[in-house]
Parts: sequence; structure tokens; C-alpha cells
Amino acid sequence: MVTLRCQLGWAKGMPGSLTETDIGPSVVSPLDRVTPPSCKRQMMGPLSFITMNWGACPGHTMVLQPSERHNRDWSHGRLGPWCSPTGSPAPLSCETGCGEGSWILVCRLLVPTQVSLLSMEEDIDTRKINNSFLRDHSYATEADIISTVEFNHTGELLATGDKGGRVVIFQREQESKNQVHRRGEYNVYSTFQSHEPEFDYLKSLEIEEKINKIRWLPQQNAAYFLLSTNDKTVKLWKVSERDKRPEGYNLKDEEGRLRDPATITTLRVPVLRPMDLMVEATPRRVFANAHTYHINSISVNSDYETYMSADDLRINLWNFEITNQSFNIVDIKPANMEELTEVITAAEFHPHHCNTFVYSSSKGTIRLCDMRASALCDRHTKFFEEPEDPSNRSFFSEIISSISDVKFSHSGRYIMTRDYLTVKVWDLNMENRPIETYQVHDYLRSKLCSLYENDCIFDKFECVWNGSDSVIMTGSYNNFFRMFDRNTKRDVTLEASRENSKPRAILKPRKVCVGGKRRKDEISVDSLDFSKKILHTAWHPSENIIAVAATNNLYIFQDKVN
Amino acid sequence: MIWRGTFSLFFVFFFNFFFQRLFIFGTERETEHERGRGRERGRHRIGNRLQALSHQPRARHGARTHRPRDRDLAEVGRLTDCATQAPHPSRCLKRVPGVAVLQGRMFARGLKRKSSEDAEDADGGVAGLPAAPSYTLQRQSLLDMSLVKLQLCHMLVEPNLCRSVLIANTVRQIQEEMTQDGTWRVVAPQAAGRAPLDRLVSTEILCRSGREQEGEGDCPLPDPAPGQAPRRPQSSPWGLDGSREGRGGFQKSLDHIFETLENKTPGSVEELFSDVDSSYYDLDAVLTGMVGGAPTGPGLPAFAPTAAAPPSSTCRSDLGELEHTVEILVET
Repeated sequence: MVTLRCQLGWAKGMPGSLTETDIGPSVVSPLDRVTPPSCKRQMMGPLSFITMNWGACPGHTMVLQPSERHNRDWSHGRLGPWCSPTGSPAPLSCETGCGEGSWILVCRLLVPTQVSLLSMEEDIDTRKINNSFLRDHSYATEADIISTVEFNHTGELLATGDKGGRVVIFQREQESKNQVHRRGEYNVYSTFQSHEPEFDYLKSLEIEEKINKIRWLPQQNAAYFLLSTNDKTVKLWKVSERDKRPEGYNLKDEEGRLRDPATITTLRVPVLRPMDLMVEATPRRVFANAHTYHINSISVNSDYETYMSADDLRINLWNFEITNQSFNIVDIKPANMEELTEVITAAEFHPHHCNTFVYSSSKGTIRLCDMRASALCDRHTKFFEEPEDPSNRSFFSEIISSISDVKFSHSGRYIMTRDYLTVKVWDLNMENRPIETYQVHDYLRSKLCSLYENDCIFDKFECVWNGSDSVIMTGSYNNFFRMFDRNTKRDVTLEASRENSKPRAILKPRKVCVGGKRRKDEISVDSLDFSKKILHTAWHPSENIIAVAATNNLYIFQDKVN
Repeated sequence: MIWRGTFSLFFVFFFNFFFQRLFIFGTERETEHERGRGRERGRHRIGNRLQALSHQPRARHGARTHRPRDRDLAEVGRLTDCATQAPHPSRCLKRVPGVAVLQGRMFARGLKRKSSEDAEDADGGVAGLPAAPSYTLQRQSLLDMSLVKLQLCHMLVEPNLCRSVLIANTVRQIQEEMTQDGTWRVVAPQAAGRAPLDRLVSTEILCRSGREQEGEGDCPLPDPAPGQAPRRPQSSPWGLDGSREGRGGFQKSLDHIFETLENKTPGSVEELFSDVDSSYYDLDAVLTGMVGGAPTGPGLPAFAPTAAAPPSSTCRSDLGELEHTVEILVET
């Protein structure tokens, strides 16, 4: 087994320079690829974020250190301001794209963690680390694959969860008059290890620490609250800032050591002195042991007192204050598991009606339930299913009809569902068919057998609404993501990739050619990279800022309207 | 007190049962699966099946318009690739170009099912390539691929229930269609006196016997009544090995046992077995995982995965006796 040790620290200002007060060393062992499966998840890799190279003035290099002990949440200081870029951004055109203008890349946050550049068992000059992290690294350990992205209700914070159980929260840079172009940039605000890998002794199975979903609670005081869940456990995290610390204790001295009471001659009142801003994340509630199967969705109710968690066969309703009890509101587990043919794939509460929720199934159906009808909502109130198109029938019809995501519109009047090849918009008042169907990547319809073979047909793509419910977005393969404007019926395919992502560069629409003749900029279906898939995207609740997760990279794009 | 004596005897027997099952299965595995454990075993089994696959067309079709070897090799390549790389999604559309073209024809819209049109397809082959394989062959290969997928489960992490259910539904759909086409041979259900187990007569046993015969293509399926789902293809991690029948009976007996013992947490026990039902553990993997140092819990739960192990056909008689004894005890 190969174990690497490295020392990580802060860097402020120009790369390579370190101020002593910033260094917070911690010896960690990065993820090792050559480990037997049983030890794989005990080690965590360093997590780092790099800002884009703005040209003359490289931005910050910040290297974060994960906590060494599993139950200790660490926090870090807030980043200093970015260096201002020299030169002005290029003029933008508004002819392409969806909506009002084109999409530009605001910032790309890399999460490289492989530290194989470091030699073994050596204390490494931290300058070398910073320099190496400035360059692009294309490798990434599996634990850094982003598994969920979510904006909070104001759009100020963006939370991402990854396969290693970590949650990273980004905060939007505050707008200022002289730096108007900086609008829409997100910096790391807080990082914490939300879930740890566990072992279920009863079944001799490992419980993955991958964060399946993150949901924000609306802000009610100065702290931020979010729910994060892995396969089995939901946790409520409180993210709070601290910018003052008390000084002048009587019984403790400045370092915190206890003073000998005999040496105390005077009494003083401790005062709060300002300090560098510190962001702490603490788990406030742990909702565990309620799900036998893997949790796939959580949804906060509009009453902000309850939420639901859905696994493959059951949906439970929780109260935020009570962690040892939950109500089971949907149970589709058959008495005989041999008869199981359908599982729950996603569930969500209505945005305004606290008694209504929907859940989707692997057979392409959506059920809307009203909790006032009965305690166990096994009988749906509405049942949405589109009759099958007999001309398109194949052995894979059922698999591609399995719904991977369901989202209410912000108005609460529509629901959007994503199955493998299409996105459908349903009106809540019409159950027999959707009102709109958009083909995401219909060119894959003839390749279904290959996609079944390499398991890509089971990929679960998510879909999002924009703030005004006029545009919907979803991901595809080859790092493409698609946007559909419901009003103008226009759609665009964009790519989130490193090659195309110079800062402030306009995203060029991409096209996949299906037929024989391939035009210059088109890409043929057979050249698509099916390992690069965009499953998770998020849209700012009020502005045209989107976050796209491509494996281990997070891209933030904004719509530039002059 | 007579009943108490029975109760304690019951308990003793119950634990012996587990031990015996483990022991039986252990010996059974040595004799039957000498090629190795875990994924290797799966691979070798795939090899067997591929050889069987290559035998199929020769036996079933007399005159052929294309050379058999190319297509078989293509299928072999595809299935082998699937077996070795199944857990990792990758760019595989270019892996076997011939197959990609075939699939373009295979599962295009308006999938043709009539045998007359198969001949048309065979005649109108793509220039430079062998003609598209017949629909039944494609269906069979899809069935095999699905069964392989059900087998290849991740060793230590709980398998994805949604994926398993979807694959199982696909398998069931293929089997139903094959039944309707009449390409499945209906076999009379096995020994009487086990009415609830009728539909549990395993596809796997019959498939195994079918495979051993030369030139036998599709696996026979008993009881093609559409009301009853043909078997539990989804709950057979072994695919085509192992007896389901004995296990199904064993499960039911165990349920009786637990009910009579008035287990305090029937839900959890039911969960235990129901999860075992719906999960697709490779017993070898689980056993090696357990032997290889994965922490095991208390004694009884440690046997839970092994309880999932379907006994193979040769120990079915032993299990039958055990079941019979259990039933006697339950009824007293």
C-alpha cells in the first residue's frame, strides 16, 4: 500500500508566498488508488479549489484541509478578495443562446486532489504544492465526483456534495460599484465532511458516504441550514459565521490554559473583539435508521417544519425537531418481494401547498398525493402517465421511460420530469399526457443496446427550472447540457469543458450530427464521450446564473445581458 | 411440557439448520465450482454460456445466409466486454463496430417481430457485413446480457435496487415474449404436494439442463401464465446456477418459523429476508468478503447472507428433508 503524506496550507496573494499565520498544517493521507476495497474509504484526499487564471494577475490559490478526525468539523477562514483582472472583458454578442443573451463562463472551480507529485514520507515545501496546483490537472480521485448541486433560496449560496461525503458551500461575491463585472462569482464559503462511510454489520455491506441530495432551508436567522443525505441518513447542518471572539477571561489565559486561581488578583469582564471571519458547520440533527433502501430524494415542505425523505420503496415524513420518529406516508413495497416491478425514483413537495407532493416511479408514472386524504398515501390523488407510443416500442422502452427526476415549477402549476431521452412538462390538471415534450438526445435512441451494455442507460439525469419557469435545463453526455425555452420553443446545446472555458468566454452552441454529413463544428454521435456526463445542474432562483457539475468540476455560467 | 420441549428442540434444530446449510453449500461449491470464486467464477460461467450461444444457431437454423463465425465472434466480443467492464460506463459504442451497426438495425423503431421478416432482414444485409442476425438471436443475447448484469454485482456496496428491478423487468419481458412466440418449452411442474412452489420451479434448473443438451437454445420456462410473473428472474443472482425451488420453500418455512416463535421484531426479520430476496449478492463474493476480514456482526446475522445462498440442485433433496421436518415441527 502506498501512503503519501503532505502538508497543506494557505496561500494568499501571489502563488508561492505564504504568511505564517495562514498556515494550518495537517497531515493527511490522500486517497490511494491501490488499496483493497475495505480500506478505500478511510482516507480522504485534500480538497482544493483554484480560481481561474485571469491573465496578468493570477488569483488565489487556496488549499483546504479536510478534517483528520471523522467527527470533527473543521472550518477555515474566509478568502480574501480576488485580484482584479487587468484589461476589460471582450465585447459580447447576443445573437446566440437561449433567452436574452449568451452564456459566459464566470468561474470554474477545480477539485483536483491527486498528490502523486509529492514524494513519499517527506515534508514538502508548500510552495511546490501551490505551484503545482496552479496548473491544470486532469486527474481526479473518485471521491471528488460531484453528486449534487443546489442553490439556496436567495441564490447567495451554492452547495455541492460529492462522492466522498463532503459538502462544499460557495458564496456569491458581493457586488460593488467599481467591480461590476465581478457579479456572479462564487467563492468557497465553507467545507465540511457531512457523511462518513459506514458498515452495516447486519448485511455485511458498506454504506456509501456519497451525498445524494442537498436541500436548503429558507433562512430564518443569521445562520444557514441545509439538509444533506447519503443512502441511509439525513443530517441537518447549521452553517454559521463567527467574527467575534471573547477575550479577557478570568480563569483562562489567552491560550486557553487554566490559570491558577491564586494568581488572579483582579476581575475583569470579557469583551468581544473582532476576529477574522470563521465559518463553522455543525450537525444539528441526525435522522437515521428510517430507511431500508437507498434514499434518493429529500424535499423540504413549504411549512418549513417538516420534510420528506424517499427511498426506493418508501417515503417518510419527518419533523425537523424529532429525530427518532418519522411517519411513513408512502409504501409501495409488495408483500412478496418477488412481485416487485416498480420503485420510487424521485419525490418532491409542492412549493406552496404543504399537503401535496408528487413521486415518480421507474415505470414512467408520476403520482400526486394529498396527505390530508389518509395517513398512508398509498392511493394517489392524481396519476400522470403518458400512453406508450407503440411505434417506438422496444425491449428498452421501460428502462428509458423510467423517470430520474421530478421537479415542481416555481409557480406550482407544472411538474417537469426527466426520463432517459426526453424532458416532459406536465400540467397538474391534466393527467393523461404531458403538455410539452422536449427531446434531449434523441440520437441515442438507436444506440440503446450499447448504452444498456455499458450501463449508461441507467444514468439518472436531473432537470431544473429557471426562476421564471420559462426555461428548463438538463444535462447530457460529452459534458453537454441542454436548455429549452418554453416560450420561444428554441433550444441550445452547450458544453462545459475545460478547453472551452476561458474566463468570460462566450459558450458556443454545440450540435450533434445524426446523419451522414457532418458539418465543421458538429460532433458525431459515435465520438461522444459517455464517461463525461452532466447529471447535476442548478439554476439560480432569480437570476440567470447556472451551476453545472461535470464529474469533478463545477462550472458556473451566467447570462450576460448588456 | 411437551410444547416447550418442542420449542427448545426447534431452536437447536434451527441453528443446526443454518450450520448445515452453510456446510452443505460449502462442500457443494467445492465440487461444482472449482474454477474459483467471485468474479472469476462469473466470467467462466459466461464463457460456458458463450460456447452454448455459439452452438445455438447451428442447431436451430439450417440454411443460413451469413457466415456463423463472424456474428458469433462479434457477440462473444460484445458479451465478454460487457462482463469485464460492466460496472464501468465507458465509451463502448466504438468497441465492436459490427455490432453497432447490427444494433442500429436491431432495435430501430418499429421492431419487427415476425419470422417472415427475419428472412427479409437476413436477405437485405448491409453491404460488406453479414446480414442482421435474427430477432430471436438478438433477443437471446439481450437476455443473456441481462442475466449477466444481474449477476455482476458490486461486492461490498449494496446493489442498486432500481437498476436491478429494471433489468429484471427486461428479462421478464423477454421471457414473456419468448413464451408467446412458443419458443419456450413448457415443462410440467415438479413434484406434487408443493402447490405454492409450483411457480417457483426454477428457470435455472431447467436452463441448466437445457444448456447441457447439445444444440439447445432457449431455456425452457414452466408455467407461462401471464398472470404469474415467470419466476423471479430478478432474485437469482446466480443466474443459471443453483436451485430456486428449495430456497423458496426454505424461505417460506423460515417465515413460518419466525411467526411461531413470535419474533419481537418481525419487521426486521422480514426485512432481512426480503432484502435478501431482492438483492443480488454473489454468494462467493459475500463469503470471500466475510472470510477476507470484513467485520462480521453477531453470529446469527453473519449467516444472513449465506441464508440467501440458494442451495444447488444436488442438495435439494437434503433441504427437502429439512423443510419437511421443519413443517412437522411448525405444525405441532
